[in-house]
Amino acid sequence: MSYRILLLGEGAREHAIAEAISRSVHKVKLYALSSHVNPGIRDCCKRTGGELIVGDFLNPDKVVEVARNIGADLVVVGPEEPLFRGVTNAVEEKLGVPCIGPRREAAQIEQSKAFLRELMWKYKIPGRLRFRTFRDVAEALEYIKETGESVAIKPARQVGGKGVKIVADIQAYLRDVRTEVKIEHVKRIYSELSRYSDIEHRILIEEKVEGPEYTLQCFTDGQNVMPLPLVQDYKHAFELGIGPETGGMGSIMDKGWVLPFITQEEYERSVEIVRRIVQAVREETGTEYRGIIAGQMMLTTIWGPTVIECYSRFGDPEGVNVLSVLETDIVDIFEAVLSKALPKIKIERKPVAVVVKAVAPAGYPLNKRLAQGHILEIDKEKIESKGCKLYFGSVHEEEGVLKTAGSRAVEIAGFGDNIPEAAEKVNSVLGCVRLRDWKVLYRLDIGSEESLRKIIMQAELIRQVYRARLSRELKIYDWIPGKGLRVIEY
Amino acid sequence: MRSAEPVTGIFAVYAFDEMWRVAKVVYYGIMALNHRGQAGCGMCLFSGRGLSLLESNIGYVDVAFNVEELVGREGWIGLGWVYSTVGRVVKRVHIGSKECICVFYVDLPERDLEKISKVLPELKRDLDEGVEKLNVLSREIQRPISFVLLTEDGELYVYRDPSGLKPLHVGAYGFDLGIISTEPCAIECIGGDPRADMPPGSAMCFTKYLVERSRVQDLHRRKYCALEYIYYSRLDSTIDEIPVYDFRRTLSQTVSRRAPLSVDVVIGVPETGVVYAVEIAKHIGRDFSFGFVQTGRRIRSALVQDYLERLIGVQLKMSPIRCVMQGRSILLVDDSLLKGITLRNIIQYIRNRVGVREVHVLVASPPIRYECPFGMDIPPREELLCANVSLEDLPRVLDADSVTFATLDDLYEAFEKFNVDKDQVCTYCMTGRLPTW
Repeated sequence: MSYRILLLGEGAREHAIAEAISRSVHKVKLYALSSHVNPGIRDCCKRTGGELIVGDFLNPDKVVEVARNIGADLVVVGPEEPLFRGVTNAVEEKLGVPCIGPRREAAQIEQSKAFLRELMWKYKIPGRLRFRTFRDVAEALEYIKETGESVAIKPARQVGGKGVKIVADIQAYLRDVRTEVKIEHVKRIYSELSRYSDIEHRILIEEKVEGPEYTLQCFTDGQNVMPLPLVQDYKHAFELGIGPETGGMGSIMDKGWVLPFITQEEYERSVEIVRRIVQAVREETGTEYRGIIAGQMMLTTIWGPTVIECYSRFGDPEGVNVLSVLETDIVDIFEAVLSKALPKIKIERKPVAVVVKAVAPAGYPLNKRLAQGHILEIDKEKIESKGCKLYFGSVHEEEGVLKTAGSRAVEIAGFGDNIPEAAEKVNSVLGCVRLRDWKVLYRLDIGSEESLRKIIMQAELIRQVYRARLSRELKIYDWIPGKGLRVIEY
Repeated sequence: MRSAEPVTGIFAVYAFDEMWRVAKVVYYGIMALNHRGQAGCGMCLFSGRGLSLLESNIGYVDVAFNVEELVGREGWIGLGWVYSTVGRVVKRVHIGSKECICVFYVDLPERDLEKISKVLPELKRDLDEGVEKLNVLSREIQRPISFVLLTEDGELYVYRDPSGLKPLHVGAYGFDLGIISTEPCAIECIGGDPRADMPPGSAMCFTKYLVERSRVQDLHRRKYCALEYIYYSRLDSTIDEIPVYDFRRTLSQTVSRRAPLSVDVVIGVPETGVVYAVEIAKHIGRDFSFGFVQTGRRIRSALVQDYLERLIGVQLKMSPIRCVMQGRSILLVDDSLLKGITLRNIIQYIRNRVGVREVHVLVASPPIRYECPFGMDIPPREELLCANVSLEDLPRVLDADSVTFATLDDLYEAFEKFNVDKDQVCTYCMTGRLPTW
C-alpha cells in the first residue's frame, strides 16, 4: 500500500523515526513539519519524494492545514507537546486521518504527573509511589517545612522533561539547608508553570527513591502492548553522573531484550505495569491509547520495578537505540497499531548492542541562549567509517551552514557485540563533532565496563531488599517516639 | 605566590543551582575529615561577589565555626580544608588577573609554586595541555603536587598528580552538587554519592556550564602511601578502590603471625589500634577486650603538637578497665609507633596502677624512622622513637615485656592482596627509600 506520512518534530528522535520510515518496503512519501531545518529529517523526506516543511507543529490548526495540503494518510507525532495540545484530536476529527500518538485525554499520562499517579493508585497498579500534589504554593511550602523527607519535587506538568529536583534529606544536621532549597524550588516551579493553564495542580512532591533507571518503550493499539527492548538513559549533564538534569546525554541497549542489570522477570513485570496503565487509561478516559507509551522505570527497594514517569512517545535518545536497529518494517507496525492487530507483528531487531551519545553545545541545559547559534563542523565520513550512525538533533541548516539551536545538537549511535564495545565505537568518533570557537559536552563514561559494573552491583543490592520486602508485605512501619506508629500502605 | 603549610584534608562542593548556600555543607564535609588534621581548618565561599575566606586556628571544626552563623552565609561554591601543622595554609595565586585560593597537600618552596602557577593559565585554556605540563612538573619537583583551586569568578580546578599518593575522590548530590573530597566518607556524610577516585595525573574543572575531566591520565607512576591505609584514613572510606577497613583486616592477618602466644587477652590502644586488636585476637585464638574508657572529647594524640597537651590527651583517653587486665598477660596492639608517648604512658599506668602480669606490644606497622617529605603528618626525626632508640632498647623504654613490629613483607603482602605491587607502596617513613617518580 502507498502512504503519505506526515512526521511532526525536529530532533534526533524524529530523525531516527524518519529514517526507519524511509527504510520501509511500502511505497511511502514522507513529509515533516518542523520549526527548523533538521538536515537529517529533510534528507529522509527527499529520498522518499516528500519534503520538510517549516512551521509550528505545536499548533493543531497548522498541522491540520499541512496534513490536508499534502494529502496525508497518516500523521506520526514525534514529541509530546503536540499531543498535549490536542494535535491528534484535531487531525482525527477534522480530517479523519489517523495518528500515531495518543489523543490529548490519553496523553495526560505524561502531561500531568498527578493524573498518572492518581490513575496508578486508583487502579492499584504496582510500582506506584507515595505523592502529594499542590495547587497552591503556600500549601506546598507548609508541607515541606513540616515534613523534612527525602523527596523529588517536580512540576506537576511535563515541561520538556526538566524542573525535577531530588533532595535526599536523611541527615537531620543539614535539614535547614535543604529545606531552603526545596522552598526556593517550589516557588520557582510555581512561577514557571503559571504560563500553562491546562492543568489543575502545579507542584508534585513525591517520595524519593533510588536505584538503576531504565526505559521500557512499547507500541500499543489501545488493547495490546508490544514491548521493545529495554534502554537505559543517562540524565546528568556531566561525566560520572554529575551535574544538572538534561533530556538525556546518552543511552544504552543490550543485544537482547533486557539490560545487564535487569532480570527477565523484572522486564516482564515492567511490561505488565505498562499494560495495566494502558488499560486504566481506557477505562478512565474512554480513549483508546494509540501510539507509543514508555515507562520511565526504576528498580527500587519498595517494589522492584517502579514507575517514575510515563512518556507518551519515544524517549530521546532511547528511541534512537531501538529505531536504529529495528528490522521489522515500522509502517507495518503503524498499520497494526491502527487496526488493533499488534499481536500479529513480531518485532525483529539486529542482535547488537546499541549505545547512543549526545553532543551538546556548552551552555546546555541551563542556558540555552548561550548554547545557540554556534557553527557545527562534523566529520560525517569518519563517523560512518566506524560503523556509527549520525542523527541530527537541535540544529538548524541555513544556506548550507549548520548551527546549534540550543539543545543536544547531534546523537551518535554505535553498535557492538556488547555495551562497552558499542560505547567504545561511539567514543572514538565523538571528537568528530565540533563547534567553531565553542566547547561541546558529551559523556565518555556512558556504557563503560566500569559504569556497568557499578550499576549491576547497585541493582543486586536493591533486588535483595525488594524481594525480601515483597515476600512479607507492602507496608512500611514508621515509628516516631511520642507520635506513635504510622503504617504506610502501598 | 607565598609559601605556606600543607593541608591534610580537602572538601569542595560546587552547586549548579545558585539557590544553594553550601557553607554548612562544607562544614560537615570538613568535619568528616577532621581525623586528618586538628591544627586548624577553614573554608572559602564563592557567591558571585567574589571569594570570602573563613579561617580558624582551632582544630576542631565544630569549635572553630559557629554553625548557626554559617547557615545564613551566601555562596554556592565552597572549598574547605583541615590541616595538622600550625601556620597559614591558604595560597593566593593568580590566573591572569583573577585571584584564586589554592590548597596543596605538601608545602612547596617558592620556586616550585611559581612553576605551578605558570601552568595555571594553560590549565584554564586547555585542560589536557595543562595536565600534561603539570604531570611533567610533578616529575621534576618529585612531590605530590595535587591541589584544589577556587577562582574569584567561581571556577573550581582539581588536579591529582601522577603519584596518587594523596587521595582525591569525586562525588555528586542529586542534580545539584558536584563534590570533591580527600576521602569518600565526607561525601557520604553530607548525603552525597561517592562516584570515583580521581585518576592519578588527571584534572577536573567545574565551571558554570561545564564540568570537564581531562582525557589525559598518568596511571603508570602511581604509588600508595602505606600510612594512609595503616592509620590515616577513616575506616568507612574506600581509597583508590581499597576499602580501608578491609586493608587493616588483611594486615592484621599477616601481622598476627608474629604475635606472642603467651598472652591471655588482646587490647587495642585507642582508637585506631582497636580494629587491629579485634582481628589479631581472632587469628591467634585469644580474647579481645576493650581496655580503656575515654573522658571528654575524642582526641587523636599522635597529631597534637604540644607535649603537655599531648600528655593530657593521652591520659584522658586511657582510663583503664581494671577487671579485664588485672593479673593477666596482655597484648597491646597499636597501629603505629611514632613518639611512643601514648604507649609508654599506658603501659606504665597499667603496670603500676592496675597490676598486670605481662605487657606485650604488637605494632601493625613497621618501625617509622623518617619524616614524610610528602605532607603526611609525622613528627620530626629527633622525636621519633624508632629513629633514636634501638629495637633492643625499645622494651625497656616502653616498659614492655616485648615489642613486635609488622615487617615490610607483612605490609607488602597485605597490599598484594589488593593487587598493589610492592614497588608501588611508598615506605619512605619506614625505609628512607624515596619512591621513583
